[in-house]
Amino acid sequence: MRRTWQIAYLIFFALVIGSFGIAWCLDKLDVPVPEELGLEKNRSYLEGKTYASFPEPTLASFESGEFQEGVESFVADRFPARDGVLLANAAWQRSLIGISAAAFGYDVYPTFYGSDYAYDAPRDEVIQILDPANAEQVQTYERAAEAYRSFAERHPELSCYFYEVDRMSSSTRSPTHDLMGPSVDTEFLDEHFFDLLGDQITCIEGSFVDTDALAEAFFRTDHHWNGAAAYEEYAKMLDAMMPGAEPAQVVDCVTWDNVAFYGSTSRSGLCLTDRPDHIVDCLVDISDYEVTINGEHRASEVLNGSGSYELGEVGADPFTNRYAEYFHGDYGLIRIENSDAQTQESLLIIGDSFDNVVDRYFAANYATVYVYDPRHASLTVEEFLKRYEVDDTLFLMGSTVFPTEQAVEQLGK
Amino acid sequence: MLFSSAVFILAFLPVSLVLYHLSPGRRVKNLVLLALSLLFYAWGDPTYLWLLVLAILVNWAFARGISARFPRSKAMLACAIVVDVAILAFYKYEGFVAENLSGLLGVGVPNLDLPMPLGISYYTLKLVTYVVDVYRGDAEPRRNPLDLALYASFFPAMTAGPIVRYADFAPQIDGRKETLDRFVAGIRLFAIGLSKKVLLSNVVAILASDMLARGGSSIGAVGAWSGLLAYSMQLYFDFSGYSDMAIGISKMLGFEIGKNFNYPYISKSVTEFWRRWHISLSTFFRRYIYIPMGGSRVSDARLVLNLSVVWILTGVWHGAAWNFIFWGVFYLIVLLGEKFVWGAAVSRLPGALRHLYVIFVFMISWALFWISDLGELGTYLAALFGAYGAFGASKPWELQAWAYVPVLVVCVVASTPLVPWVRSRALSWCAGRPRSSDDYGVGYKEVGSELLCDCSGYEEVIESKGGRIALWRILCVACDLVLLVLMALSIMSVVAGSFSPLIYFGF
Repeated sequence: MRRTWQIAYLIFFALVIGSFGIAWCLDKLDVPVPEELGLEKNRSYLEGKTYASFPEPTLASFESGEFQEGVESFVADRFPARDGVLLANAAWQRSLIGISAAAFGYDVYPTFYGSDYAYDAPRDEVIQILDPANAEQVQTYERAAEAYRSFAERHPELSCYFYEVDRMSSSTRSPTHDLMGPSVDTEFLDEHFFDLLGDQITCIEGSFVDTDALAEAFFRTDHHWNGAAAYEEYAKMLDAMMPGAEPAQVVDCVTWDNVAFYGSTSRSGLCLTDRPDHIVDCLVDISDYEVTINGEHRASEVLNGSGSYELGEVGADPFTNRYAEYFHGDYGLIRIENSDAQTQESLLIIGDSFDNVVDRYFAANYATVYVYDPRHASLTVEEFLKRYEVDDTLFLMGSTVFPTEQAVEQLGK
Repeated sequence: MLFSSAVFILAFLPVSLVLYHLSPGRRVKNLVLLALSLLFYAWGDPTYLWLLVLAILVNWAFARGISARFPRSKAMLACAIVVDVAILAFYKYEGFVAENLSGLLGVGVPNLDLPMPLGISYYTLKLVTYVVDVYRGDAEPRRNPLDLALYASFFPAMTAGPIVRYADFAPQIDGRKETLDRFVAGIRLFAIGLSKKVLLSNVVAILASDMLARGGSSIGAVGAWSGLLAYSMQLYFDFSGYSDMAIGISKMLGFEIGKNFNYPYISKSVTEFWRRWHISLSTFFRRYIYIPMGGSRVSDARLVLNLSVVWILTGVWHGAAWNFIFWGVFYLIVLLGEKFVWGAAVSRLPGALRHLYVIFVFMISWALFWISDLGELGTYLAALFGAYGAFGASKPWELQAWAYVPVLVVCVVASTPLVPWVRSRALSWCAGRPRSSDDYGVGYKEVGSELLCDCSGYEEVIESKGGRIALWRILCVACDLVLLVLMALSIMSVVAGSFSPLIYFGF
C-alpha cells in the first residue's frame, strides 16, 4: 500500500512539474484541449500584453543572458490557464490581507502583497493607492510646471486651459488619502504644479466634492471616468473656455448592461469585484463629423462604439479594455472636423486617455478639434503649432502623464 | 537559473529527472548529471564556465600530485589552497580592495569591476575540501577529472550550497542508489523548500524591501522592527528553503546531503545558533580552519585569535563590503562575550529570556547584514530604538506591515519545530504510547526538514507495537496532499512572477 501511494505521489508530482511540458506537447500535436487552458492564446487582455515567443537561440544572446530571460518569459507566459493562475494567486494573498484588515479595522486594503491598488470593500471597487510625496516628486512636478508655463508664455496667441483631473490615484477625496501620510494628492498638486502655472494658463477645477461623488464619477474597476461624469466636466470646461456656449445636446445617457467588464484597476490589481462595470455614455446630437487619425481618414464611429455595442459586436475576452474599445484607443493625433460647429475656432486638446470620452463633444463647439497625445505623437507640440492653426489649447491629462519627462519634452522648446 | 524559477521547475527539472533516470548504468548517469550541471551553470553564467572548469582541472592536478608524486605534500596542498583562494579573492574582492585602497591612498587604483562568477564562493570551498581531504587521507583523489567535475559542479548544490564535503560526497559518486523511497522523500523536501522560498520568503521580502526603501525616518520604530522581522524571516526561509530544495533534488538523484539548517531561531545561545544556522559553512570553517589552528584546546589568547580569524573570514566570505565584515566582527564579539563574559549568566536565565536574548542578537546582526550603506544603517538602527517615533512620517496603514501579520505568524511558527513536535506526538499516539519519547531515535528538536519527509521508517515500529497503522498512513497521506497543494500554490506564485531575490545567490 505504501508503494502504491508512493507511485501515485510520484505521478502527481510529475503532473504538477510536467504541466507546462504536457500542455506544450498537446498543443504541438494539435490535440484538442479545453479553451480555459488558454493554450491557443498569444495575447493576454488581463495583462495587456502579447505572450513571449520562444527566443531565437544564438551564441550572442546566450552569452548576454537574453536567451535565458526569453525562455523564462516564454515558460511563464505559456503556462496553462495563466490568467486564472494570476488571479488565483492574488486572491489567496488578498484573503490573508483581508483577514488582517478586518482585525485592524480597515475597509480598504491592498489587492495583493506589493500591489499599487487597493480594494475598497464597502464600495466594492478597486482604486489606485496614492503615491507618497517626497523631494523627488516635488522636483518632478515643479519642473513640469515650469515647462508648461514657458510653453504658454511662448504662445500668447493661444488661450491655454488646464483641466485638473481629480482622480482616485491623486485626490484628497480618495478612500486611501486619509490612510496615508504626505502623498501626491490634490493639495500637493496645487502647491507644486497648478499654482505655479502662471497667469497664461487658466486652471479648471474638477467638480467632485467628496469621496462618494468621486466614486460615482469613476468606474469601480477602471481608473477612467464614466461617460456621465465626463460629460458634466466637459460642460464645465466649455463654460470656462467659451462662456455662454451651449454644450453638445445630450440625446440619451445609456448604460450598456449587456457588456460587463473589469477595467484597468481590476486588471492591474488582479482583483475581480463582485459587480463588474458597464460602459456609461452620454450620446450627443452632433451632425456628421470627419475624423482623421494619424493622417488617415476614418469613419466617425471610430470615436464612439455605440453602434457596435448595439449590434453586440464586442471583444470576446472578458478582460478586453472596454474603455478603449468603446470610446477609442490612444493615438498620436486625431483631427475632428465639424462644419456645423457653433464656432469656426479650432481647439487643441493635449491629453491622455481621459479625453477619449469628451473629444467628440467639443466638436459641437469647435470647427476643428485636434487631439494630441504626447505619449504617441511623432511631432512635438511646437512642430504641430507650426503646421496647424489653433485658437484654444486644453491640457487634459492625469497626474501620471502630464509631469512625465516624455510629456514635458513633447512640449518642445 | 533559480530553483524557484518557472524555467527550472517546469522545464529543466522534469527533463533532467527523466534523462537521468532513463540513463543506463552509473557511468552514463554520472556523465548525464555532469552535462546537466554544466548546462545549469552555463545557463546562469556562460561567461565564467571556463573558470569553473579551470578550477576543477587545477585542483584535480594538485590532488593527483599530493597523493601520487609527493605523498602528504604540504607544499602541493598549500599551492592548491593559494590558487583557490587567489581565484576567489580576485574575482570577488578585487573591486572592494581597489575602491578602499583608492580611498586610503588618495590615488586611483584601477578597478576592473568584474562581475562575480556564479557560485564561486561555494565551489571554491568545495574544491578546498577536496584537496584537504585527499591530503588528510580521508578520500582518494579521483583518477577521472569528470568525477571531480561532477562533485564541484553538482547543480543542486552549486549556487547556494549546502557546502558538501568531498569525503562525504565521494562514496556516492559511484556507490549511490536511486530508490523510490528516497525519490519520494526528495519530492516532499523539494515541496517544503519551494513553499518556504516562494510562499513565505518572497512575500515577506516585499515588506522588508519596502521598509528599507522608505528609510528609517519615514517608517519609525514599528516600521523598522516590522521590516527587520520580515527580513529575518525572508533570509531564513529563503536560504533554508533553497537548501531544502537542494537536498530534495539530490535525493531524487540518489544522493544524500546533510542538512544545512536546524531551526536556528529557537536557539538559547548564540553559540547554539551557529550550530543550527548554515551548518555546512560553519562545519567547513570549523573543520578546515578553526581546528587546524588549534580549535578551542588552546590558551585564551590563542582562542581569541582563532575565533577572530574564523569570524572575519566568515564575514568576508559573505560579501565584499564593510557591512559583512562588521557583521562577522559583531558575531565574534558576541561569541567571545558568551565564552568569557556573560555566557554563564545567560545560561542561568529562564529559557524564554535566553530565547529573547538570541532573537535580539540575530535580528540586530541581520540589520548589519542587510544594509550596506553605513549612513542608512545608522538611520535604520536609530529608527529601531525610537528616534523617529512609532511610525516616522508615515501612517500605520501605508506601512502595510499590518497586512503581513498572517504571513509573519506562519513564518514564526514555521521557524520553530512545531511541525516535527506534532509529528512526534502523532507518532507516539499512533504507536499507542501516551507520551512522546525518543524511542524512535529522533528527538523532535533535532529534526531538520529532510527527516520530516521520511514516514516509511516508522510503519514497522507502529505495526510491531500493534499501533494504529491505518491512522498513521492516513496522516501521512494527508500531509503528502498538503505538500502537493503547497507545491501547486508555489508554482502558481512563480508563474505569477512574484518578487524573487535569492539573497545567498550573490556569493
